[in-house]
Amino acid sequence: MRSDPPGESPEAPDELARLPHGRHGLPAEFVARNQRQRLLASLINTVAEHGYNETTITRVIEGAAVSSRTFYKYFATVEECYLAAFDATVDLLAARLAEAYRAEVEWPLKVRAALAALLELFAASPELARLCLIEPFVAGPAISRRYQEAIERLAPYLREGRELRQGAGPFPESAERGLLGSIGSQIARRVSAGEADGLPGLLPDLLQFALTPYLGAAEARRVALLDA
Amino acid sequence: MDAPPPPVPPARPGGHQLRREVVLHHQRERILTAAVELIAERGYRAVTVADIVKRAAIARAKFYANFASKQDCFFAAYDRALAEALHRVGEASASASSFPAGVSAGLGALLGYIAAEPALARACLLEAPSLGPAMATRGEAAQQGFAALLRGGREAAVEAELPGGVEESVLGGLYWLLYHAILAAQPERIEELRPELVEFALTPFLGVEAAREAAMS
Repeated sequence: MRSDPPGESPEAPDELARLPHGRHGLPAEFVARNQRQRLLASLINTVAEHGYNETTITRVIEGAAVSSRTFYKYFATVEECYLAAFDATVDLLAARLAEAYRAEVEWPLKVRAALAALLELFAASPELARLCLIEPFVAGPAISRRYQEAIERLAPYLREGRELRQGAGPFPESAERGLLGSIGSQIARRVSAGEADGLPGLLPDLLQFALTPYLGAAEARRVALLDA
Repeated sequence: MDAPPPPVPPARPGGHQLRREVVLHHQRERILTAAVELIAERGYRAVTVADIVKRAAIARAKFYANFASKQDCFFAAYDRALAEALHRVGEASASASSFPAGVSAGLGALLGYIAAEPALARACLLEAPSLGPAMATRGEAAQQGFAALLRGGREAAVEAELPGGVEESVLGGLYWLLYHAILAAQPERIEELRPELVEFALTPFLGVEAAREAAMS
């Protein structure tokens, strides 16, 4: 993470978590003191409303109610601002997922809890789904590499399940990558279609899909259909 | 970069219609090739019509005689690549004797195409999303087209009920695995991915053991 200039508050994922849950308009309450946080919040909202290609410094600074000089104090380009917002969001996500994962004991239920937390977060904040799952592909390789890193960062949650594959033989290194790619793609499709509200409803299907290589089809389905 | 071909003598009035068509076709191909190369090298956004014209070694007017815009040119390349990819995948899987063999043959054909045309693959898989909403219809068409690869999965499925959206999930995962591989920029090694892609695609339908067996055969 880039270090903050002296006197600025440290990166605080909670600030982002307080973004309102609407899909339109600017945040109702700005993170008052921290200009950098306001820029990140504005970037996220601008991308959600206009898409990456129409995200300009002008729009971002207008949304943050700061000058362009202030923008350049923190970021050289829109891309840099995007990457900072992306990183902050992934940190927030990772913290939520880790908390949910830790709260359960058995691995399949741990995965279930983490996946449920992921779907709930994106249902509540579809602008974060746009930022992390959709627009990185529009932005292209410079930013989509960050998406790649985020996928690799989440892979260990699934990789732990390899112990449960009863003598099924070697498992491709890329398996977790494919499963996470599937999940990301399914979330992206729903959000693109304006159906973020329905994301938590995907839990059984996505969970069954993710657990099958580790538990087998029948057991994966049984876990997927457990009551909340 | 090849030297431009020698100038073609002007067609005589009323004659050499075939030669003129060959010339025009050749120009269009040069433009498409140049555009794809540049987009793969520099990214879609960074490429201009001027860049394409220079790389193709044609006059700017010739570009606009063929295409309305950079986007138009890209769509022509994309549409043709998608049609070719679907054709190769379809042919390969149609001549297979079982669902798993069909998936294996189809993915093999796709990887072969990517290996043979790395710039085209990079342009269509990595750069196409840069066009944003303009790509929506084509992205959906690609999704529908490749879903045919997995037709027959439900009949072939063994125990338990399949999760909803399983074909979409498989395609989304395959897309990401291909994207990741191309991003890692080792196009000559992409065909080595076949077994793991086959295993990934078949596991939801056939279970762990059968998927691995099919992937290894």
